[in-house]
Amino acid sequence: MKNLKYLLFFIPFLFISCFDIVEKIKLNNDGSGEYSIILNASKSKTRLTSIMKMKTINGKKVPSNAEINSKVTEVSNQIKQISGISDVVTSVDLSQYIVKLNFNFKSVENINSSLETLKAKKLIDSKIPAQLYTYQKEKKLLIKNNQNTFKKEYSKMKAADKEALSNANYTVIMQFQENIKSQTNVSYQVSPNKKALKLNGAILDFINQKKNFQNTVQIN
Amino acid sequence: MLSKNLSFLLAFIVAIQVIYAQKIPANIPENAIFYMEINGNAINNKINWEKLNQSKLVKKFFNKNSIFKSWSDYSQTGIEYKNKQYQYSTVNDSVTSYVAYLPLNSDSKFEEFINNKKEKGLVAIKKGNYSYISLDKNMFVAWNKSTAILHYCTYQKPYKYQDYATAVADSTAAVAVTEAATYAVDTVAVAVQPDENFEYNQGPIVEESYKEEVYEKKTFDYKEEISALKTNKKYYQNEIKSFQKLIKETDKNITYLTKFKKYPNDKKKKIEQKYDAAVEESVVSAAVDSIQTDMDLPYKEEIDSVYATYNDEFEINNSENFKIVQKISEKLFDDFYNTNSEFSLPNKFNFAKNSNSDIYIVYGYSNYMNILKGKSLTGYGLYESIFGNFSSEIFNTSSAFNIFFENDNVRVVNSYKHNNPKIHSEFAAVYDGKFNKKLAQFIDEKTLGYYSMNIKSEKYLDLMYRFFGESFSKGKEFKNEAELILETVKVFLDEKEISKIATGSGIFTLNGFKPKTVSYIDYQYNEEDFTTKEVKKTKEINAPDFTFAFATEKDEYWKKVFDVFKNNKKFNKNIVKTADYFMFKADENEMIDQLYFTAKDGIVIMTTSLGNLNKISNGDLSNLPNADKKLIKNHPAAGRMDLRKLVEIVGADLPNKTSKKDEKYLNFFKQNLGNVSFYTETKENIETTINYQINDNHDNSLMYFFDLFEELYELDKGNLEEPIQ
Repeated sequence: MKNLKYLLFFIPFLFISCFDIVEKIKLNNDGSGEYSIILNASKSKTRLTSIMKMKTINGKKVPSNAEINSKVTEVSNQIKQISGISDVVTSVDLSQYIVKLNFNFKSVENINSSLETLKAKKLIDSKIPAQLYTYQKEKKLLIKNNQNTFKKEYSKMKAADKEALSNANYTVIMQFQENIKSQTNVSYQVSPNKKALKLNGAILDFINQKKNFQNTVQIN
Repeated sequence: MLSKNLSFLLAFIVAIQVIYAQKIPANIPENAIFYMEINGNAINNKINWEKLNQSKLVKKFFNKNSIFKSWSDYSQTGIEYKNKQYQYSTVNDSVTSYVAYLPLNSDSKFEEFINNKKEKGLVAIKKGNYSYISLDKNMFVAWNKSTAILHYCTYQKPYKYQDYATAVADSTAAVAVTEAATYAVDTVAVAVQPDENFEYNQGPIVEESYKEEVYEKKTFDYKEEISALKTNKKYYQNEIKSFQKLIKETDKNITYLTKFKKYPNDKKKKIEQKYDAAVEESVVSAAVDSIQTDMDLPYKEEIDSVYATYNDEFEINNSENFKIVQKISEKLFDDFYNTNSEFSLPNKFNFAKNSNSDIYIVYGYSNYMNILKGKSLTGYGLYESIFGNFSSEIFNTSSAFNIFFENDNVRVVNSYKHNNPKIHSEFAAVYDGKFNKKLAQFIDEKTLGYYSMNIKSEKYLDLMYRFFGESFSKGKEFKNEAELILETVKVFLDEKEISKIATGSGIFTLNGFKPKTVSYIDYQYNEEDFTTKEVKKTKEINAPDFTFAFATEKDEYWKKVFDVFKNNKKFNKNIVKTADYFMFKADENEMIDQLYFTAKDGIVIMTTSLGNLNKISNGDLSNLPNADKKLIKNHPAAGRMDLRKLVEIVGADLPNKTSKKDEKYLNFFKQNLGNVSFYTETKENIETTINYQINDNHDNSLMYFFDLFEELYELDKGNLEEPIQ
């Protein structure tokens, strides 16, 4: 599950057992597009409100609201500097416990570069693979890569930390300008208008390899 | 000349002392911080050996964690389970010991059990009339025909405190340090379990091996390097799972540099840089799953070969420590086996002992405080005079636990007494409170649990004065000044008026849980093209319904306190004031909805239920269950909690999508948790009795805990996450 630690700094969010991650890519034919990621822990906001009043939980420091905001701003500033990326928008709603990151890109490689940058700045874990997407413009072929399930890391986690992931879900949405001709991973649901794909599952399913992000999508 | 009656009385008292100077087959030191007696016969009758022998948890424990392989019948280990067992622990500046005396019925069987070691067989050392072996670097076991002694011991060099001589004046530590200093490396031919190679040569050989690899850079500052490395170590620990190996290697660096003040050569640094680069560039990201394993670590061989010599440094330290621990153990064994086999048990370890209890435990708080005092307060004049003696006085207590494993109930009785009779009588006076009807009425049949207290707060202040007074009277340099401060404080503080603010009666009740509707944001996807949209949804959570109330003789004082909160900018928007009460309206994200509070008719109350506010004046106890009435009325502190019901209600608040694992654990706790209650009373000592009632699906309350852990193990082992789709 590649983005398990993408939002590493949202420690309190990870210590409740119900949160959702929504990753969305909207791809134009020329390879540009829009990318967004949402961490939604609103369902557990009552618990989170209590956790945020604590100093530590499960041996880890609970960051303050200011620290979370500062971290998101730092991520935003780093991504803004990447060539090819524009209109970076972040939002942190600490009343609903929702964090969003959204930006436009000229090429899917920019998405990968953003990860590289964040890793280099130690804002995310160095083990997170950087090659999320590959796009072959001439062939109109989008590949979503599945490089690391973090299964081994998960097996080494403490029981309390594992509990944080027990009811967490991950959704991937891919939207295109034209119809989808084919895809290699039938777990992705095709939209009625044939221009979008959706994959939804429990994070643990991805970690335990019951589900897979890997997909090669051929667009018309 | 004494009268006949008086002489007889004195003789009787002496005789009683002699009788009660209990003789036991174990030498328990006066300064033990922990002492335990296990009533072997009682416990043995309660253990279901068949169940224990077949237990998968026990097998798993022995195969994974224990020094020993699993055994077919644990009732046949040579230990005489029906006899009493004695265990204790001592702690001083450098040595921590835990000792268990195990009565034997068969020394040959016991030796067979000891030899049932996982890796290699052991060679016992015969010393006079006993034998012993080391099970690992900190654990030794000795035995003769009738008694085995298990000794766990750790040693660390004493810390250099201001008053070093005082800190190491402790006899055991001094013996260990003296003997370690004069201990020659090769003098003891110890046939021990060779997990580690303790036979090696000291420093010169290690230095010689590095002679050719001296790090030549003159500007190199090893202290800075150590400091920098220590900083890096902190960073690595934050990523502990990823960088565990790096932490280990850095420790070796620090240790090596501390001794040799330099690295061996440049070669090591180059290898390190290569390794770091590999991690940074994610060169091994393709095999990221295996990067943590030793087998797959790149450059492992090169790094290991360079650091191989560092291991000697660790071995030196480990071996010195081992030999010291061995010496201490031998002394313990010699003292026991080579002298009289009966010892007098210090009186403090008979405190409040109930001969019918299954387990009896004494905590030597005062001994422990002496250790802490020696560590931190030596040499601080006024501080020691005040706080040093104060903390010693606070912990100058006797405390014991008697544990009874009854059929359907575990009973733990804690007895407490302050060793200063004047202070103890002040303590007991605190617990002389009166039953408060108005507070008791907050309990009814629906109450999940409560904690009730009826003490005298005025007496509490007297107790504090007594503590300070007794402490200051034992001061050294500033005794008069400290006593003057205390008398001045007494003049200014009017304890009678202070105690009117809160007289000492209070209650906290958990009445249950009330549903609370909370909204949250979810994401839905347009059916046509999966465009995301935010949707507001609601769900119900269980919010606790509780009451906290205490008695006061100053209603108006508390109303003024509440007014201050009401007018405070931070709380102003949340607090509403009516004629009869205040209401705090919590934010939507908080667990509770609103909190009502007021002070009237001698009661200050904070509650989540408006209805409770009306109860204050009534004093109606018709809804108070008889069992609770008896508990609260007769005891200055009492309480209970229905754990099963609590889990049932809290568990109902699981997230909408519940995994099968969560369900299984929830059912497990619902079936197995019982009720816990406690009460405190003042007799000769201050006694608190805790009762834990189990359900009737177990052989007895001792086996209840065994069954609990066994079932938990099965649950944990057999469960894979199967979240509901």
